Amino acid sequence: MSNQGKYYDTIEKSIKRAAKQCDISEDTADIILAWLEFAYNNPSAFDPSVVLTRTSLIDDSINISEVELDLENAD
Amino acid sequence: MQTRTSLNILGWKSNNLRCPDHSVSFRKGEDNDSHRITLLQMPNGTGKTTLWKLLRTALSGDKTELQEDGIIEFKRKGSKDDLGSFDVSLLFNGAMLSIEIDFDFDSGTVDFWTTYSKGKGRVQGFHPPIEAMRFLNNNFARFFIFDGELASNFLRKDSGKTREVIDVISQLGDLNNINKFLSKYYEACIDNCGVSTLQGFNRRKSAYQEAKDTLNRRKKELEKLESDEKFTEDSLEELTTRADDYIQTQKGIREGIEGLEKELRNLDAEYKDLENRALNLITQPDALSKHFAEGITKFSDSLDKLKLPENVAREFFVELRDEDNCICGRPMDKEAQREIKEQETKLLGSEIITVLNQLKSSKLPPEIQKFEDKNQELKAVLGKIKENDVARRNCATEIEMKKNTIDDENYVALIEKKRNLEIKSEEISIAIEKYRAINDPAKNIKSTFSIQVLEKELKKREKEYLKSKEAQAFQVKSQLTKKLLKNAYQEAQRTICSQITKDTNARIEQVMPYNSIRIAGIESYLHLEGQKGSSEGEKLSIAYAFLTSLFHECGYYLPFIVDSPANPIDLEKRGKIAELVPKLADQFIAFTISSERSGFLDALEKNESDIQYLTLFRNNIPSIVEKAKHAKAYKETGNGMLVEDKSFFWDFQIQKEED
Repeated sequence: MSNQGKYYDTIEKSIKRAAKQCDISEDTADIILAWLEFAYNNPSAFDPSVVLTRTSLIDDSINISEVELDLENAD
Repeated sequence: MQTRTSLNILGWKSNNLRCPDHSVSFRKGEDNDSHRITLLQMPNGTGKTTLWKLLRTALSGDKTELQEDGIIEFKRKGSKDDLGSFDVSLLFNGAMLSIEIDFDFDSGTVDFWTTYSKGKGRVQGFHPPIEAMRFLNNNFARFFIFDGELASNFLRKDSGKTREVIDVISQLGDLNNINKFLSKYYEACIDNCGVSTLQGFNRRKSAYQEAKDTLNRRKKELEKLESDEKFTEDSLEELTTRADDYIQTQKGIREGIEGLEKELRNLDAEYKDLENRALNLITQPDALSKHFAEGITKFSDSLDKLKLPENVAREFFVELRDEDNCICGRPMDKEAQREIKEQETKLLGSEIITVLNQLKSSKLPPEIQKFEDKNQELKAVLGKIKENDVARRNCATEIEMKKNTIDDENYVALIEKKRNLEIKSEEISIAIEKYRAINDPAKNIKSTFSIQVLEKELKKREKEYLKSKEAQAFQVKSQLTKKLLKNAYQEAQRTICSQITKDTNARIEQVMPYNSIRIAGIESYLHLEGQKGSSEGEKLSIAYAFLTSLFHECGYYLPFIVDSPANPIDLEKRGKIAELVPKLADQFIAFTISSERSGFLDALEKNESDIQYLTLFRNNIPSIVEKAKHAKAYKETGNGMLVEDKSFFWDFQIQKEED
């Protein structure tokens, strides 16, 4: 259990479940959760440099297949 | 082991502000433990609102509230001093933290100063440790420095405060922040791809694939053509070699034939010569046989003896007929002349005459006497003729054989094949040129042959496709992360709200057991079950129950500071609120007035023993000041008194002070 209490635990479960639903790897979910943990104690968690690093990390953790690209294609 | 973040207010000190100058400590004895409940009784007009705003500013670092009111409004009335200060002492995770607000009424400014025992000493500005910044900010502080207005807002449909407080305290709001920043990140990524629109990804992909397929196809075709070209060239080379070899071989044969034919001609000439020589010799009987030679000699001698005319010619007979007598002595009459003429024709036409003439006319050569030589020569000539005949036959046979080796039919076929290959090679060269050309007249990619043009087009299309693909990937990721965070947010919010609803209702039941008021759920407000309205007391009770439930699971030990915790509540319900208050937080500081004590304080004392009783008032009523001086503990400043004494607290009756 995290130091952040039950709310964090609930959010953690929800993120992991949502990641499965969206077929996103657990790595991505973990990076989001790490950001949340960081934000719990750091008011600078949404400062531009932190945001850039964390969003890039999330982006890098997501692998999109050709099939997914086609499926998601709107036109 | 689980550890929780804790914050306690150890005290504060106010100087030259609208509330009386005072210094309050919530410590129990000398250590840093603070009382669980502190009741700070302040009559209305003592500057309670000022104190409230100062606290909220100090614990949020947000000066807006002070600036909105005007800095000068916080100055103690009648004071000539242009400086004022408010200093809050805190205990954060066991370390001392102090926030000071310095007022400069002359310049109308306020400044923060921060002192943290684990930090760099006293520094200007609002700089609590970053771990404390999560709740020491304007969003969070207003939920633990709580007033009646907020309680009403929890139940107002249009305020949105309920979801807001849940988002702030549970960190659901951070989830939204992450979502917001990820959306912005992906928007920027898509912008960077330089793709004006996300439409057309498939189109670009197909166009790229088409160029790729066409190029591959053309490369394979060229490869095949080049292979064919090489094969054709090799075949041509081989055929040329074969043709040259053939020609060389045929040349030899033909030269051989020519030589043989020349040899044959020579043999023929030799044969004729030999034949003539043989005939010549054969016409000389003496050459044929010794007997002939002897006979001819004898015959010739006889002719001479017979005195035969030397020349047995027509003239002989013509002269004879003109003679008077025949050579036989008979008279030459007409009958005789006619007979001679008749016989003359027969006689002159016979070979015998010829021979005789020859014999007569010729003088027998001396060779006759050399029979042996002639005969030998004849034999030699005949022998040579025989040899010549053999040689000629052999030569003719050899010529025939050589002629038979000449294979013109195959040579023609070979030349034809070579010609065809040359045509094919030319066709291939022309075809290859199309593939190797720098330009191509084709109007569409499928009809293009030039590899260079195709490669250029492929590069262009690949670039467009990759940009589009990259943008598409960002778009997909953006959608996925949005979906993930939205789903997670909604699910977590449902779970958290459901749990808080359950806990809140349990607490409401505790506070108001005979009241059926309950919350049906949490939307943007606390949705009451079957209720259209509620009294102020009910609102406050619900708000306490809600906040207690909310803070119970948040992971922080924070102080809970409430202005008039029981004032709007009906007397009969105050006891239940009092039961709830100790459960709200580890440190509960309530600003009260004397009228709130009834129904509240008794119940509170029943539920909590660690209560600190403080009374703060202006020292402008001598009888009260005098009484205060008999209290257990008191502090007097230039314009106020702070008394720490339960009895004094209970007995204090001033609800409103005159400024």
